Amino acid sequence: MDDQPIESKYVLAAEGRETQENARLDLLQQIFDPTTKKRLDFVQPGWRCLEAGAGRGSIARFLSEKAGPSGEVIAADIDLNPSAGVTLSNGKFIKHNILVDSLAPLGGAGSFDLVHARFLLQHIYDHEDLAIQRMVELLKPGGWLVIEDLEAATMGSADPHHPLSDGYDRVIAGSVAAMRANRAVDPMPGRALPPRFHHAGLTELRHEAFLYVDRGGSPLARWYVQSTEGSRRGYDNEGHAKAIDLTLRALKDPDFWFQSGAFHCAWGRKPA
Amino acid sequence: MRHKPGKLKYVLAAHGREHHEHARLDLLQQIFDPISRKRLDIVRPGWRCLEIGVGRGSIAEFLSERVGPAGEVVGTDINLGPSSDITLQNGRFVLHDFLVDPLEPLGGPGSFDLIHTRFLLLHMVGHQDEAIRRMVDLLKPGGWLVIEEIETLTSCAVDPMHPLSEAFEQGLAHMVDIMLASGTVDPKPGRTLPLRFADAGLSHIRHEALLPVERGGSKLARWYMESVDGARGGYEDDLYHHGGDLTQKALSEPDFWFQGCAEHCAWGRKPG
Repeated sequence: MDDQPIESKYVLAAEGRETQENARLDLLQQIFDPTTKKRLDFVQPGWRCLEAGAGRGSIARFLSEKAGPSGEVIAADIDLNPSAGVTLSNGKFIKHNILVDSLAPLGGAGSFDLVHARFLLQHIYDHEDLAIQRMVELLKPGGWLVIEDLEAATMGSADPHHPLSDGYDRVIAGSVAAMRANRAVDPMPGRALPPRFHHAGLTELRHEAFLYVDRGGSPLARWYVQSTEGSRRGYDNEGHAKAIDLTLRALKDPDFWFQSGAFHCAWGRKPA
Repeated sequence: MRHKPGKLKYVLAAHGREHHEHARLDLLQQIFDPISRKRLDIVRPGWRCLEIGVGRGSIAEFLSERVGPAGEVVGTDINLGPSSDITLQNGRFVLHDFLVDPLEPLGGPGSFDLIHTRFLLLHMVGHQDEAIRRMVDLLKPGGWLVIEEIETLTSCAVDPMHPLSEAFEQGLAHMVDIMLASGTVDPKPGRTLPLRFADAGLSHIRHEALLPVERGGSKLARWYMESVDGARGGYEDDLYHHGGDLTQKALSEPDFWFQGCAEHCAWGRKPG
């Protein structure tokens, strides 16, 4: 609900664990960039693009190449340290919170051909519609909004016989319920994208989502381990330590097969 | 619980409702053939292919075109009524219960370059590994096994605020409970495919799964409704029918958004 007060609850803030967080974001890019690049393949030379939540900056760089010298890329994030080494020949990084900061420094209303955000909405639980509304405002008529998000609700074991499977499934079910209760991370931001786009007045809606089945120790499993460890300080004190340990043990075991969260993407166009 | 293969109950048997079942299978082909064809893009001229559970026969026809005059296609089903209008230039349909009947009439061990099935294993609760073993047995060294399955378990409402969402999820939960209790349909046959393929000794294992988000009244929604209705004869428990009624109501409402069944596919190769 968008009448909730807006406060930052970002559970993966890098402060005090910069090295680990940069490594986690690098792994994120390695795993998800190939799919994201395919999804953004329609970006044309000369476009003005906004990447909201730039992280380590690889997608901002990709958009910068696609848009070329006649285009421009603005990359925004609440923390610019992870992208400190990256420069864009036709754009810039701006410290910016899409929910609360003025849109003027980004270029203002009606100034972008494309706005893209990946794994951003899940961290602004209860304010998803406000974020989408502001992104739509930033678009030119005919401009595209592309949002990718990963959701936790489809996570689960993929081997009924592994000794950790039952426990793992119980922990996932418990953490999805806990995420709903403490409202820091939205456990299902992806599936809601098409109706949210629809309600925001966007047209030419399209949606896809992928699930992955993988085993412990894979890059995806390692990324889940790093993400769990990265957000652990937010949950340990709630008595979840044992549950977290079980998850980590499963995800490090090559004999443990699991199904991932769903990697959603929605496309929509602002009416001209 | 292990069931004797002969006791397996096919809840969507066409007998006595042929007209409706053919319409349901036609809609299935309309929805899923485009993705199945992409997934079978590996098939080459001259291959010998087996399609188990041909239904209305469109994929057998597609394989027949791909392998050309130098290849051969064998299509099997426990009921050849739905495919009776189709003839294959370079192949034939065989009435065959895959878990029970001898493999020789199909060509015997080591005789196929490709075996494909779609939405078959979910009806073989307790015998999925055995079915895969028999398929691998039928493959030539270097031959490909491609299995597609859908999972009821990922279905859910998208918008928690919609007045029909709670009833929809309750209805689904009822149906999944009955599926599990009766041992007739596996609600998650897709996510276990990579592990089963690995256990069966296959190499080059690949997997993908797509997750649709749609609204009531869509083609996919209509197919779910027809499938729920089609299976009603297979269940005596009122809970299934009550659950079915709850889901039908939501699936016919255009303002109702839902996440559908995950559409899994696994590829694996017999070591050559």
